[in-house]
Amino acid sequence: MLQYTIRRFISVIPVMFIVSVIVFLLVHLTPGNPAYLILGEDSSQESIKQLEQQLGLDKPIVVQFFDWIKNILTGDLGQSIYSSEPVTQVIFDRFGPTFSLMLLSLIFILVISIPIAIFVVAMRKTILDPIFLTISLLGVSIPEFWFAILLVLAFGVTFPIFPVAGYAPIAEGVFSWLYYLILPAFVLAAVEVGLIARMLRDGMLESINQDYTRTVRAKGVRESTVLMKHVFANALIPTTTVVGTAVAGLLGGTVIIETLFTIPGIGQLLIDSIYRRDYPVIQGVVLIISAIYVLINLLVDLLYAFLDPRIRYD
Amino acid sequence: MFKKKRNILALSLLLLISLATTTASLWLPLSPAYIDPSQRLLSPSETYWFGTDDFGRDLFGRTIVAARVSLLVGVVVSLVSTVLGTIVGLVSGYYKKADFILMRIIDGMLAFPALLLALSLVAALGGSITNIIIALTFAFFPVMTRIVRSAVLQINHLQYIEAAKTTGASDIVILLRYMLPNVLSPIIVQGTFIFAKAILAEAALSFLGVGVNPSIPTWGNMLQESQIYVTIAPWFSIFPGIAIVITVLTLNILGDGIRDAFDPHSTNRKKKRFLRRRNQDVTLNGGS
Amino acid sequence: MLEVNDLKVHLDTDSGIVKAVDGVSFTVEAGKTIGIVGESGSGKSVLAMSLTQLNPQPPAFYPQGEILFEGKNVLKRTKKDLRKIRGNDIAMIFQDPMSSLNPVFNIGDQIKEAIRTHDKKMSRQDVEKKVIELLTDVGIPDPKRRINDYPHQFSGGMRQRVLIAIALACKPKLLIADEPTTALDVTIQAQILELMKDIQKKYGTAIIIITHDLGVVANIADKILVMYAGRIVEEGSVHDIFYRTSMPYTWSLLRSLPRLDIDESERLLTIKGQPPDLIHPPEGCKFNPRCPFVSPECLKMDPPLTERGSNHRAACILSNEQFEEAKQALIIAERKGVHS
Repeated sequence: MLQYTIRRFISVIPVMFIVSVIVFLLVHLTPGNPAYLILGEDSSQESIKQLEQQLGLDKPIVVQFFDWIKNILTGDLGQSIYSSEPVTQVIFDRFGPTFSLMLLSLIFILVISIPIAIFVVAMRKTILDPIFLTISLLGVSIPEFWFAILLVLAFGVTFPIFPVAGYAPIAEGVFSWLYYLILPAFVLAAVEVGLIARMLRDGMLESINQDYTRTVRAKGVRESTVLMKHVFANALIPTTTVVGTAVAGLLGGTVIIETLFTIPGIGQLLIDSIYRRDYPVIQGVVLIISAIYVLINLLVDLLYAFLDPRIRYD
Repeated sequence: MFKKKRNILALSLLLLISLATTTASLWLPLSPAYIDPSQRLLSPSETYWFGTDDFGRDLFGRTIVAARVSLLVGVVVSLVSTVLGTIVGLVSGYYKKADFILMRIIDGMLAFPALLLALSLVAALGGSITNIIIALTFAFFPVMTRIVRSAVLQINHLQYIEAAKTTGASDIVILLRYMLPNVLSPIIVQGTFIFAKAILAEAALSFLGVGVNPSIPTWGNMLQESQIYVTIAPWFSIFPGIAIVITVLTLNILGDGIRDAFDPHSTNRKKKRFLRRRNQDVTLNGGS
Repeated sequence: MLEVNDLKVHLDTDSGIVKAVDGVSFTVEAGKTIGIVGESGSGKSVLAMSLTQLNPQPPAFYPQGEILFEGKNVLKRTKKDLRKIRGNDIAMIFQDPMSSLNPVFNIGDQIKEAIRTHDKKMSRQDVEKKVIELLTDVGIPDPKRRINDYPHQFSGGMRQRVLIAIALACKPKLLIADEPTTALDVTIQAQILELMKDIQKKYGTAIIIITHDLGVVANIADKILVMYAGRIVEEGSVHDIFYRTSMPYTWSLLRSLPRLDIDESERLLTIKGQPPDLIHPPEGCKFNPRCPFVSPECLKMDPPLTERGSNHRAACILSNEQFEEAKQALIIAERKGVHS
């Protein structure tokens, strides 16, 4: 287990290297001079020169790349062109809402999809199973922003129970924090629920016909215990990896949901920065989100290894 | 039986949508581009089946015409990702040395949530249809590469491949004549799913305002425009959304159907394979 | 103790009704060992599972017959009653020890579960003590330490011992072992069979061993039932089955067995053809397409079990004498074939 953990940690290094190369290249992919693009067409020669110097664009590209890597490693992601604040500070300020949103969504996903999967598996011989399969297929076919619009329509107009825009930090009280987040977190979760519940169901259905469940039944254990304890424990292990996938969906989804529900998180920062052509911030956000994603996948893999005794005791 | 009917229904629906949107100018009673400020935000009626938008344009016609961009983006992205992913996957699965480098790059690309990668690429390149196709291809082809590679690794040591190698067949022949036909089914299935995902992603990009030029009717653009009118003209938001759902759903049903047709126990087998691979990895990595 | 009367177990599949068990009767007395022998697809595993109704229903259903355990029909019991029988009165061990233990729980927990299911009042210490006792009984070395180990840390033979410990947890009156040694190495097979004999002595459990290998039951069973196509085609003592064989199928099974005490020319012959299709079984005697002694009669009627001695019955139109003659004739013909 220790060796596995170390190996898994080391494997992050090349991945993050490639990630930083891609993020670095983002700016250099832009057609024409980035400084020119940032400042607009009617800017003066001097101000362009100045910005080029500030961004280091006047140096050879290889030098720029190593400067950029060096800066990342020292925690310096550059300066926002829009607000002149350090990028790390800008991102850090926006971190709370995004983290809250994702955490609540993840809780929603697990709380909704696990019971659904168990229920569907318990009812596997009824018409419920094909109905579930069709609904889960429908679930992955609905664009989340459209689903969000429908909910805004339902809750903003027809049943105005929840607010459809805004955010309250948790410091202002857990209740108002939850109150503002429930709807966006639900939308964000809803899209992933179909997928996760489906994966859980497939895993449980596979486990249910394994030899070991027959052994458990032969002991005289009741069917509900067979399902909830033995089948579920086995299905849960491969599902941890699915949670990794769900997090990827959530990270992409926050961009849309934060924009729609005007939540001042990292996703909204990214969209705003794209409109403002604030490249250092765009790079910073993309780099940080990918780093989080890689880190979560690492944790998921370690959790997987920990949950599965075949790996834990190897 | 139920599934077969479902697949046929989905395929017919997809063909109908394609036919309707390509021949739209021949049969649409109202021009989707005709602006009539006196007819702003009308609810659905006999004249305007889906109502009108904020410029008084016919939403039914616009919804039909908007399918062009979605289908175009979907087809091109899924084709290019499939070809690119298949080539890289075949090479990577077959040549060990290339594999090491290629997989590090692919892993790096997979470290971005797909939508985020597409979003930042479009932000860098600018939002034309071509750039969106490029961005989405980069976002989706790495998954295809992974799938093709693992399929190749599965069959690489099988007897008929070994036999072909000993008869002195060239690598190209082995890859194209022996490998490719045997990894084709996961490729086609994944290609269909990429088609669906690309349509969703294009709509999301346009909706966020970083996609296709707002003057071109696309479902994402329509939803973006409709957003501020959602309380007074809900039909403006509802119909383009339904169009996306139907199109993507038909593709997902087809993908599912193709997977079942190729392999009735696909979900189970894939997971077993996955588990086995996982365990192998661990033992190879050397336990205590 | 256990009495099975004219039992039928059919499976409703997409391609038709599989008559897996098609009219089987036998009895098991307390403390005795019964061997049920047949090829794969003869219905013997379905029969074993049906005794505690472990067959998933659907596809399985029971169109006819009864299973009397201590006088009560198992088929008529409620789910709750069945759970009380399973593990407590009738325990089972299965073919593949590698996959029959849940990989994510340690073996101590899996044995404890068997005890706890039927005795909820026992204290934790007592349960723990009992688990260690069971593990010692089934010959697991250092049970105190191994109780916390996971299935993958055991070899196949050791896992089968753990499964036997689970089965013995509630001192069942009947132990059903479905191919208990098939997945194991030959040397381990002998150890496991030896263990089962010891267990029977110590616990007084009746045992049903189901196997495709007559050799496995040769020195453990009090009675052998030979199954073919969902029916019993011959039953008798080990001696009857081995030395007074009265049914061509049993004879073919014996000839496919490697043995030292029989003339070389009779040895190691495989049975020609495939086990019958249980959806559309052949007309007449089910064995007729593969029988070396087939006559036109055999295509018309399916012979019932007839007495061939005390407690020895077989289902064949040939009498013992006729069968003996036919056998000799065949062996001579085969020898000629070999020499020419």
